[in-house]
Amino acid sequence: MGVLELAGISKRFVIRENPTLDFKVRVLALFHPRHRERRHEVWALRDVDVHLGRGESLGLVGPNGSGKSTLLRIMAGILQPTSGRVSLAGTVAPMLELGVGFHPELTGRENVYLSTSLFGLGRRQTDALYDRIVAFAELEGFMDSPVKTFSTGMAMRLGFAVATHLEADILLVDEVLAVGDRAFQQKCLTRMSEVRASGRSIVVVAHDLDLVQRFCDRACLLVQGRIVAEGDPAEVVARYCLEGVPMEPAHAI
Amino acid sequence: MIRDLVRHRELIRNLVLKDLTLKYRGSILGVAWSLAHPALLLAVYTLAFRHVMKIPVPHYPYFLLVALLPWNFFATAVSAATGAIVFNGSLLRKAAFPREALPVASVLFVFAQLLLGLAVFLPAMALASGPGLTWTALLLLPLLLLHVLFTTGLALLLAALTTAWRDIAHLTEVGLVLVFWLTPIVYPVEMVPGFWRSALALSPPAAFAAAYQDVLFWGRVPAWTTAAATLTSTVAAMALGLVVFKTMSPTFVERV
Repeated sequence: MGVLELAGISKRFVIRENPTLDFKVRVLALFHPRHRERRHEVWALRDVDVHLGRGESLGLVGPNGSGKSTLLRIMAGILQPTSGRVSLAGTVAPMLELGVGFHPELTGRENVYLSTSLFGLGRRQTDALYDRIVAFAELEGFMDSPVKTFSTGMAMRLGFAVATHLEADILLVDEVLAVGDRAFQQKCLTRMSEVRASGRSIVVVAHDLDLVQRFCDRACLLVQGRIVAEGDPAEVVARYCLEGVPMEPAHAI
Repeated sequence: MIRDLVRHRELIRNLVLKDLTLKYRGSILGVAWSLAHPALLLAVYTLAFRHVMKIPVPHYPYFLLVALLPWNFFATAVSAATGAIVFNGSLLRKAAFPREALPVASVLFVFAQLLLGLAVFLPAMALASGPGLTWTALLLLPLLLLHVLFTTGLALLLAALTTAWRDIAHLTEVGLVLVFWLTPIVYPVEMVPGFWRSALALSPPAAFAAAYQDVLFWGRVPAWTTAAATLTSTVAAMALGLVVFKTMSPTFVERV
């Protein structure tokens, strides 16, 4: 039994094609089919099983729209699967859109306390982590300014620092390493290695296949919402590179 | 749900602090606005209803105040709750915290301002030229508790429904104005003609207004019908709000 088990997970999104469905459109729809509500379904995930062991790092690779981000959001408990079962034995720290969710008018400090409490941390727990978070983000001297005055890079550093210091059992990382400069990327990798070395699990979504091979113990290749290959990162990446995998647009939330 | 909220009390506290901070940061009068706003309303309503409409109630400004302050809390909280989920998409997408925290925090934020108003106006009522307070003022505590729970129930309901039908926010705005004038707040219930007065017995806001006027202004224990109306409407609002919210909350992220 790992720290996270996903069994038979499927996720369906209903996409409405009409931009608005106001009263006028609804009345027109009575007379003309052109105005009727058009919707179609997209299966972002189909019957996905994932096993994540304690202390393991798992890479998710695949083309855009293959369901990687949706899968990460289901692991985080933010999205509910349409069917299937999620069993989680621990806490999750999702790092999905770095810096998103910070309130621009609040100061760096206020945002840190708000963010950690979103994950259920009490004030004293955050007090104990605060200095390390600020030091890691290299934002000493800025924490009492509103986040709207931060550069994008500063906000991202703060977001990364908060998420990796939550001391959750599982860290979910979505493409954060594609942004930020080299020094920041290097620092993130070092920090993720520390998190892994401390016995916690990590799930990484990355287009940087080199990173997946170096960092992950295991990898899954997702194509059109299904896992088509799983196992040794080098083999999974090789398979992804060899096969011209078909692309299909899908939606993630 | 209660256990979830207790575990996330720090989140609720931070959300309330965030709203308070954002509301007053950068304004010169700051928190004083929370008092200036009802004071100005009070002045205008007193001018209109005592001096122009000649409503025959002694100490009219105090009569008005004891039901107007709680109404302002109720109306502001309910209308803010319609946006509690739909305007917080970025928080919903960030973590899987209990969604109830958002409408609960938005109600408590407004409630903090009611407490501030009461803390300033009640002593004035007891000391100055007012009608004075009696021991029944102690009943204010259970009454406030019921009122917060009633408001929270409606807030949960409206916050959830607005994610599916944005019209709810507009309906709520209009509905609140109608209900305000149909509720005996600026005029005493005795001025309402017989048939309509019995119809008012079915209105929860009217029951709450009557209860506040009883315990703070008239210095009497509310009639059992008033007490029963506040209690049953609180239980009903909470039950309905919780069921609807629980049912809809798994898909909030996909709707906002």
